[in-house]
Amino acid sequence: MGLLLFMGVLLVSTFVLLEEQQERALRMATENAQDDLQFMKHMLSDSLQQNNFEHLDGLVKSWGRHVRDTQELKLTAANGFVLGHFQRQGPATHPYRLEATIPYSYQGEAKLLFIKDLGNIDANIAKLRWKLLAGLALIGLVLWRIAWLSFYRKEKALALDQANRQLRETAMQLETTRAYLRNVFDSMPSILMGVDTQGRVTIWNKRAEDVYGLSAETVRGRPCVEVLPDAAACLPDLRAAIDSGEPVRFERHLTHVDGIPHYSEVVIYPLSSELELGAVIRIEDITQRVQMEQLMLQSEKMLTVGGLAAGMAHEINNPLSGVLQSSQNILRRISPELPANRAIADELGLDLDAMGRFLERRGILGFLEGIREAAGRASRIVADMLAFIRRSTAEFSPVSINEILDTVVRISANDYDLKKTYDFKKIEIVREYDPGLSPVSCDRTEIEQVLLNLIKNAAHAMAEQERHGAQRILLRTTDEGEWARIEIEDNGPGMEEAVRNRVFEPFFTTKPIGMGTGLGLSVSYYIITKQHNGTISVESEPGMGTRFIIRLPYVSSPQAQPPAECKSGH
Amino acid sequence: MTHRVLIVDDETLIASSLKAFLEDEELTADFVSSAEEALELLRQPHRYDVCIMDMRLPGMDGSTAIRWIHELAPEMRFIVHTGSVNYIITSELKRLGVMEQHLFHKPLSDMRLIAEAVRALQG
Repeated sequence: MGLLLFMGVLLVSTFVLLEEQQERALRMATENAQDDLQFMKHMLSDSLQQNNFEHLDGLVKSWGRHVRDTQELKLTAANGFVLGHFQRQGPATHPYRLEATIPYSYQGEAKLLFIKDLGNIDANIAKLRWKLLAGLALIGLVLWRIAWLSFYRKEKALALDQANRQLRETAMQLETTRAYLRNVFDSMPSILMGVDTQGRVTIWNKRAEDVYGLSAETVRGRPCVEVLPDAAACLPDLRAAIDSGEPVRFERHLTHVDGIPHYSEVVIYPLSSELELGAVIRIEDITQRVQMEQLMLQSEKMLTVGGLAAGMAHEINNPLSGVLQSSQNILRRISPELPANRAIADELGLDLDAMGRFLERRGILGFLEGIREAAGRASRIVADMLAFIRRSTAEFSPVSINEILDTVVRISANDYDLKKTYDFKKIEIVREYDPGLSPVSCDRTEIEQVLLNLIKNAAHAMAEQERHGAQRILLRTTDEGEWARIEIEDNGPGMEEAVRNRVFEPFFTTKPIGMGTGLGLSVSYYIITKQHNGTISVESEPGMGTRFIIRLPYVSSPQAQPPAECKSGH
Repeated sequence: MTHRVLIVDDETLIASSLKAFLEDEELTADFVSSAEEALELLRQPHRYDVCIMDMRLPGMDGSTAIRWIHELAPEMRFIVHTGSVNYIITSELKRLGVMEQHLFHKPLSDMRLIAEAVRALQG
């Protein structure tokens, strides 16, 4: 628009300029013509006054030839006689007529006619006009071209800009979608691995990064078997899933991470898109679930076994009582020390000392002792089994922890060991009791069970170790304000971190198969933390021994028992 | 020694061996194999002052027997000797003076413990 206006202004001003130029040229030409006329009048006047007429015609003709654009020059005397005449051939395009009178001696006047053709000036102006127009047209053309180009470029730039914007928007949308998708993948608690038809990794989520310690950048594009050697076993299923378009699922796929068994559920979902063939593999760690199932199965078994055992115990305990009591009586009644034995022996004329030597020599005393010991062992197996499955009666009463510890040490000292893996007599027991420790409200049998467990474990651990130094268990009690703190420390082999972190897990055991259920410490943990609102922790370093720390609140109750009642008794 | 111990247990071997042990400990003891027999015996004039009672018996059970015996002989003291692992002293028996230290589980690894309890009860 601006360009058009500019062109218009240019055109108009050009024409105005041109008009002016033409006007000026014409004015100058007419002024020149006047001057020429005056000059010729002046010259002619002299010749006329001197009556010198002969050369007038030559003069006129000469002037006519020499004065520019003269069309006609005619000097006529007063009597009409033509004194001189010049006439150019051809018509004038723009005649300009001037006339002058020249007085001379005969009292008459000569007339001088001067016709000038201004056609040349017109022609020049016209030429100029055309030139200008052509120039203008050229400028216009150039300008228009420039304008068009710039406009076109602008248009093109605009279009490009829009395309760019659209592209950017699309890219942004794509990025958003990708981020969203990545977010979805990363938020999944399961391991997600995408593979293409060649088995190369396309997706690798955060969980996978965390579990396998490999970043998505390093694994993307690599064959999945290279990334996860365990995946090699799944390759045929992967192929089958992609070919059939049906998901394939395995359960309880057992793998080992740092030697620790892990159960996982693997599901291969084939990708059905025509663009993207491949599959997404979801690996979920179901170790905990499997462990829980095992635990439930185990506790169910325990309940069944427990029910059977409780009934059976009574039936077994009666004959065991008979065996135990009878053998105790026999041993007493063959002893020479009992006065009643001597009395009967004397009555029968029996040498009791000789009989004693006989029994000794024939090993009969040993056999009797063996019967008693074996029956005792059988009864303790039953008792232990029952203690383990017995449901807590949850009767809380104030108990002296120091006393419980002593009882437990006594039980441990008398404790048999089925496989004879340790000898409790070799272990030095160091007591560092706080003599002023207040009684703790607790279920005595449960706490006894926990402490017995810990002391037995300590004895086991120390027995495993090949050592020459003294085996020592330190028992320490301290008052910690609201809590009573019990420490059981051994100077055994200690534990690696991997073991230490898992000691309270159900079914975790370092003992050989058949030696431990892996339940002892988890049951202890349950008793201390859940039933007594206490804490149990372990401190251990390889070669530095192990220390279990139990903290029990002085006041606690299995149900909503008034705490004051528990504390007041003793 | 005028105090006498009455053992009520349907397992003769347990009862007789316990009786023998207590006798070696210079205590006098007799045994019967059912609650009914014990009640029959105690209806007569007697010199028993401690009763060692099994809980699971044919016919009348140990707890009921203790209640009945208490009616017949209020001065009688009781020791519970049971093979049931889940046995808990009921509040009623506690009221009759049966305490934790009077509860013995079968099998007894050392009968001296029960002998001591008897002596403690006889004062």
